Amino acid sequence: MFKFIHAADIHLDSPLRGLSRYESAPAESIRAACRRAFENLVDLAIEEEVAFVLLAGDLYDGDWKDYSTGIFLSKQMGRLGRHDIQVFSVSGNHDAANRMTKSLDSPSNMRMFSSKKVETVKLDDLGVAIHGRSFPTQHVDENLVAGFCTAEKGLFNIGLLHTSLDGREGHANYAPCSLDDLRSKEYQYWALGHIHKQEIVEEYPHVIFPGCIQGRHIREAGAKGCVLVSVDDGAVSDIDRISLDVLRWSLCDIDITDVDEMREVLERVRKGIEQEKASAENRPLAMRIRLQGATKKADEIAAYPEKLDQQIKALGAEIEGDDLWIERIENSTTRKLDLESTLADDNAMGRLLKEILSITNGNDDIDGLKDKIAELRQKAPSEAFGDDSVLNLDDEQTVHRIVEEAKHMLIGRLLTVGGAK
Amino acid sequence: MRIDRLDLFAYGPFTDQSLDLTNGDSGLHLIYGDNEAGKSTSLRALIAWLFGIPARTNDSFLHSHSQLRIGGQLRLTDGSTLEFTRKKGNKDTLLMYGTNDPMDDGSLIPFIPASIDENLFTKLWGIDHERLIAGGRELLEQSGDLGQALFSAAVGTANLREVLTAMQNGADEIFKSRGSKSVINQAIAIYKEAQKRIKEATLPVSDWKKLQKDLSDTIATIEKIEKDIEAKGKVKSRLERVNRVKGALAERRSVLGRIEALGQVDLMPEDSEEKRRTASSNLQSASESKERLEAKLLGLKEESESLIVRSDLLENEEAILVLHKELGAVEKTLKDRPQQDGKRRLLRNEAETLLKTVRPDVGLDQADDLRPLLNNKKWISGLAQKHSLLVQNKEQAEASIKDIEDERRSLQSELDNSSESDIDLKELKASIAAARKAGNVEQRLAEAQKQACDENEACQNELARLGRYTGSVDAVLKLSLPVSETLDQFEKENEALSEEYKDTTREEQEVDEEKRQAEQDLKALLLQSDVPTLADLETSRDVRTTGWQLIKRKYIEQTEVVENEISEYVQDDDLPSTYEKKVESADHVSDRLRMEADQVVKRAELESKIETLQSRIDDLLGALENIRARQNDFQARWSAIWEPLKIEAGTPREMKQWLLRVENLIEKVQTAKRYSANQQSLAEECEQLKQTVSGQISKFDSSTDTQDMSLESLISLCEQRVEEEEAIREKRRQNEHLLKESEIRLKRKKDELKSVGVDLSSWKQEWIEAIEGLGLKEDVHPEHATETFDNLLSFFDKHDKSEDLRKRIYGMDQVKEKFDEKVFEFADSIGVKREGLEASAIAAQLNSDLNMAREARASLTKIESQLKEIKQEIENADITSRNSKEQLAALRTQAKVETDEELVEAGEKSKNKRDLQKKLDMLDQELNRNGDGLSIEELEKESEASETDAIEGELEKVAGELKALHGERDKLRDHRQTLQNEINAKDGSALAANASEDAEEHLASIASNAEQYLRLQAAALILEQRIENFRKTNQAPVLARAGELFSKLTLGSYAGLRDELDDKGNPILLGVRPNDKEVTVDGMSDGSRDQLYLALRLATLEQHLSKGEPMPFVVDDILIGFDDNRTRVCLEVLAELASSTQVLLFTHHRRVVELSKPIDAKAGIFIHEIGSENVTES
Repeated sequence: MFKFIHAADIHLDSPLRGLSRYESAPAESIRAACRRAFENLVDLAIEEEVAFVLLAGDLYDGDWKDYSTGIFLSKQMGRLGRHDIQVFSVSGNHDAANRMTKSLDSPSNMRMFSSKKVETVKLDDLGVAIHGRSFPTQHVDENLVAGFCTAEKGLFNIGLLHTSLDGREGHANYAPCSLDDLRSKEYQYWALGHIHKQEIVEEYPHVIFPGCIQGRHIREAGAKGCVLVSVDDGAVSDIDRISLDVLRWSLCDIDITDVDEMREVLERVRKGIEQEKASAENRPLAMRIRLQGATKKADEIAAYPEKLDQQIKALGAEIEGDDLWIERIENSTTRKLDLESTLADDNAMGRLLKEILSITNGNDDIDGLKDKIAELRQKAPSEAFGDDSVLNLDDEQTVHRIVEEAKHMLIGRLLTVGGAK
Repeated sequence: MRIDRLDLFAYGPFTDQSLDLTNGDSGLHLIYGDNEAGKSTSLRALIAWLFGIPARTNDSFLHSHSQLRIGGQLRLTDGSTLEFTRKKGNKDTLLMYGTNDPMDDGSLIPFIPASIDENLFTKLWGIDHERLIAGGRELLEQSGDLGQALFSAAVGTANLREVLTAMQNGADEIFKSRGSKSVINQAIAIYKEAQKRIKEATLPVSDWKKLQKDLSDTIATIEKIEKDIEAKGKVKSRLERVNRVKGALAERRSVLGRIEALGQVDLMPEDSEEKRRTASSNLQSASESKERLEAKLLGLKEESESLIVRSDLLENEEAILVLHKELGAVEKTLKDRPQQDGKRRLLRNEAETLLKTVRPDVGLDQADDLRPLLNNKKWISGLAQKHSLLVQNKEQAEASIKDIEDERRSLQSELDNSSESDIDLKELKASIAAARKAGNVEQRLAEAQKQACDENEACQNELARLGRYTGSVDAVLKLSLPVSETLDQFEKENEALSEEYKDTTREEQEVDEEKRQAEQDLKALLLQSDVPTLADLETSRDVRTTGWQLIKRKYIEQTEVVENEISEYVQDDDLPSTYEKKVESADHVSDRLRMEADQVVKRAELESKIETLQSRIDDLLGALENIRARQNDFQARWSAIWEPLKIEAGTPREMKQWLLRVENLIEKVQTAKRYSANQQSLAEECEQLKQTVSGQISKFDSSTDTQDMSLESLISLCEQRVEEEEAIREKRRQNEHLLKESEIRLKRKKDELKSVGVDLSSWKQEWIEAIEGLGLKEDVHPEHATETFDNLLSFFDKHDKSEDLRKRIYGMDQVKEKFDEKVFEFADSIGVKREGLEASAIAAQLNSDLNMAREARASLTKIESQLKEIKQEIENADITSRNSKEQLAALRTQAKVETDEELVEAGEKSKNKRDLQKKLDMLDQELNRNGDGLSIEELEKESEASETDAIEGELEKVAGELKALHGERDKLRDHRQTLQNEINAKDGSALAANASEDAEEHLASIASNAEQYLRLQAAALILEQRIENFRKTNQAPVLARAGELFSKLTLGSYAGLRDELDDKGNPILLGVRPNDKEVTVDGMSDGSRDQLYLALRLATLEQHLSKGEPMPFVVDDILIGFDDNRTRVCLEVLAELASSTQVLLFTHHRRVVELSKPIDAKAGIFIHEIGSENVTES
């Protein structure tokens, strides 16, 4: 019997996205999260006395040029080497694009499979054959499984590959292949990488995406880590999912339907935070809070989002101190009374609100808005408004959303200011 | 929608109060309340009723949260109403009126559209002073921007501009395209800085490779140089070796030569020379010391012979020491004796003096006879003490007796002076208690008077209000009023009559109406076509027949026809054609009767109906007449009942009410009477008490005039008197008691005095006894006696001491005598001559002689031991000398020589050879050490091969080369270290990664702030556009109407409003004076601006009112800052508005109410006072 670890998508030194700094934000406790998660992986391997570790691609980000990262990786491999733990690795789309992969001085206990052809390594003492192939370039459209040899009889066969399989949402379609392609090789275990969400696609033969080891933005919420596989008598006997992440991302929906007091809103938020915290296995949390439901407070919240933002951050600091980073507060609440009925009444305010609501959300519909956006884009770095940003200005929907929010802000302010005695 | 009624069941300070707002179609309702009356609370209650009670309210101080209830009724313009109650809570707060059953929220929607919440309602349909002022200020701040002014007024938001600028400022704080301090601008700067840091910290792959290559190159070069160093080092070390060993080799060769030159030498043991030298020296020193010792021996012998030792003294050593010791004591005694003797004489003289003072008759020698007297010491002192105690007691007793007698005299005089009054206190107190028990009669009397008076007045008022009756109040009681049953009967009858009359009249009217209708129908029928009747046919036929008769008579029968008859018949024609026409006419009627049979029948029916109805009417008129007659009869009977009472009777119902009120009055009158009676009896009771009390007072104080005093003061007077009297009596009682007591004390003291006298005489007896023998008179003062006794004591003391001293001196003389005896005896025994010396001198001489003898004996002993030692040493010297000689002989034998001189020569030779051998060994060792392991032969060979003189030069050259190589190697090693350090420094640090995280954080911050920035910008832009749009569409009509209102509100100070473009082309609002002068908004007074805001508000409101279901306009005390004239016009304007919708004006200024009274408003002004039900209309 022996054990091995299967991990993938390490993305070493890739920064966490979307966390804008604020005073009480726990900046230090989430420093170098990816590295620390990777250290956790190495610690786990040593502690569990595994026979070897499989890394199924994307050790670093493609555009990351700092060789320090490579050195860090080598050192960690060195730690495994000192415990006689071998590492088998293939490169994925990100690795292939990174020059570092080729320049890395592989430690003696780390084997990187060729990108030209499928290679097989046999571990005679364990009765294991590992077949693997690296990505030669970033974009691999061919089915790499075709090149894998069939299983070696009497051995525990492992296929190591970076692939999107038959396609997964939110992930580029690389090295596509079908489950049947994999089954046809009659391996006992397919160690896949590329998909950041853990997924046991199939068992016997096991086809597994371990997911990334550390979530880097809100779309990678939840526990992240690797799988610890036990093999007994040439067959998988146990699969353990192990969390390795040092920072947990969480998206928390908070229902404030019928809540009429700001105090109660904050109370619900507090409960939400406490619940999330309870399930975060003692890790610091990066939270997105989404307020939902129909409430009388919707106007006020829409009118002064920054006020609520501050209150919730202060609350977060009070409850969790250095262990909580409020990533973003999203306001999806609706007015308790249908606005349309307000508008049915023919008075100046009604007409004004009606007019405001009837404005379509394109930026052409508001004189001068286009100029303001242009000014902003000219001055600020373009990355701030790119694909990954909450404010993707290239997407028309973003502007629509902003205008919609602006309308609610305006209505909220008109209804609360002055009248709010 | 309007509010009919607001019920404050339980809210704030209110309990079951109601505000009736039904008056008028809509009307201006002034709701007035003082500051504390709850005006503000009722306004809050109104809002809470409509929109819910706020979760946190201060209006629950009287009624708990769950008890709060507000109710009322709403009415729409179409007349439909809704009654409901509101409770506090989160849901289902709407209740069916008067119950606790929840009501569907939806039922309120037709009255208050769901869209209108409290906020919007107060914004659109409410105005208060605060918002009015804010509106005026706002107008100033936006410098009369017309769009904003109109818009603010329309939406009721005074601080619209604030909303706009808050958003614009908010946006500016986040981002400015030209600026560096705004949030985003700063974040951008930091982001760029972080990017720079990433770049700096990044270790490019190529750099890493270059470093690694450089390192391996350097290591290779170092290796090569180290090899060169090794080779050169070998050469250098060979040369050094040759150089190093060359001297040693040469020396070695010379030593070998010298050894050879010595030839054959026997080597003696290495220590033999040493042994020889020791032996000779020992021999010499032994003989020398022997000589010295013998000389010393001789000297000592001479010394011992010169010493003399006195054995006679030494034998008596102990006895002499004892004598010497005794001598010390004797000398000391002799020295002390004269002092002691002096002391003795002094004491003896003192004693003698003392004795003379006591008993001059007794000599010192007989003094011991007086000694027994000393035993009386205690007795005499005790008696003296007792004497002073007895004298003291006697004095005290005498003083006490005097004090008591004084006290008694003063008490007695006090008693004699106080007189006892003869007032009977018991009776007086009883009267007071009786008066007190009756309670506060006077107050009760005053209350009763007031009550009676009030009641009487109330009765008078009631009577005055009652009407119909003109008699006095008292007479009312005697009125024989009809019983209510009678009145009921009359009422019933009256009602029946009225009812009957009414019914009959109505029936008559109905029938009449019916008849008129029938006549109408008939008329219409006839108008429509002339419907023929059978009578018409008859008539027509009759005319035809008449014509036929005429024709028949004239033409057929040829009978004479009266021309007149024909002409009568014929109309403007001749007979035949007339007849023809008549025939046709008859036929025509007949035809029509046949053809229009329906109409004919209808006509007939109508005519018959009219007839029937007429007859019915007649009947009814008759019946009416009958009823009137009965009513008259009733009236007569009715009046008859009231006639005797001289009361002008109204209707039975009125009279019934009147009767009730009379009964009520009677009841009141009776009450009043009861009160009067009560008052009377109280007055009597009071007078009675007063008399009793004044009677008592006259007993002790006839001077006081009690006539005009109140009962209370009388009682007080009595009470005061009782108190005084009791105090006096108490005092007297105490004095008597004290007098009695002092008498007893006096007697006791006199007894005491007597017993002291007895004690004193017995003391005297004893005293005489005690002082006998002291040579004193009997009446001597005890103190003097004591003193004399003390002198006697002192005498004996001194006398005894002098005797003691005398005995001691005698003892001393005895000791000296004994000592002399002993010394002389001893001296004689050992045969020492005394030669007339004192014993003490002899003892001292003996002692010193003994000491000298002891010293001589000690010296002799010491010399004897020295002699013994010297003899031993001489013996030792002899032995040494013998041993040395034997050793020398043995050495000579070993060296095979005869003499000691030869022995010395042989030793030197042997030593020489041994030294050379040692030197050779040392050189061999040195060569082995310095020869780098080579043998001496190899070294000799190597040395021979080298040119000795060139070695130094060669060596220098090689050393220089080596140094250069070392320098190069060290430099390379440094370089290698530098490279390694550099590599180590870059060893996987996370600097770049951390910088990248920083950058990412700021990027996120830029994005999230940019979101808010764009929201704010978009919102501000939207609002600006809306304001402009509103201005464009609403400007003209609103402005015109607002101008009118403004003119009115400013009392004509302004004629209207106008819009113009300012310098920048923006429309602005201007006030226009009656002389057409334009005034900008900032040129107006604060008050005018408030009026302007109000004018704009009302104008927009009016515009809206024309469009749909109105809502009540709630005005909260906006008139605070207005003077009377402005308040009046403002009320007029509001009253005008009130014809379109209900206006509720809450105020706590009574002035406003007063000012509203003269205003004649079409819609009506209704005043409600909070806390009262009064509603008046003006």
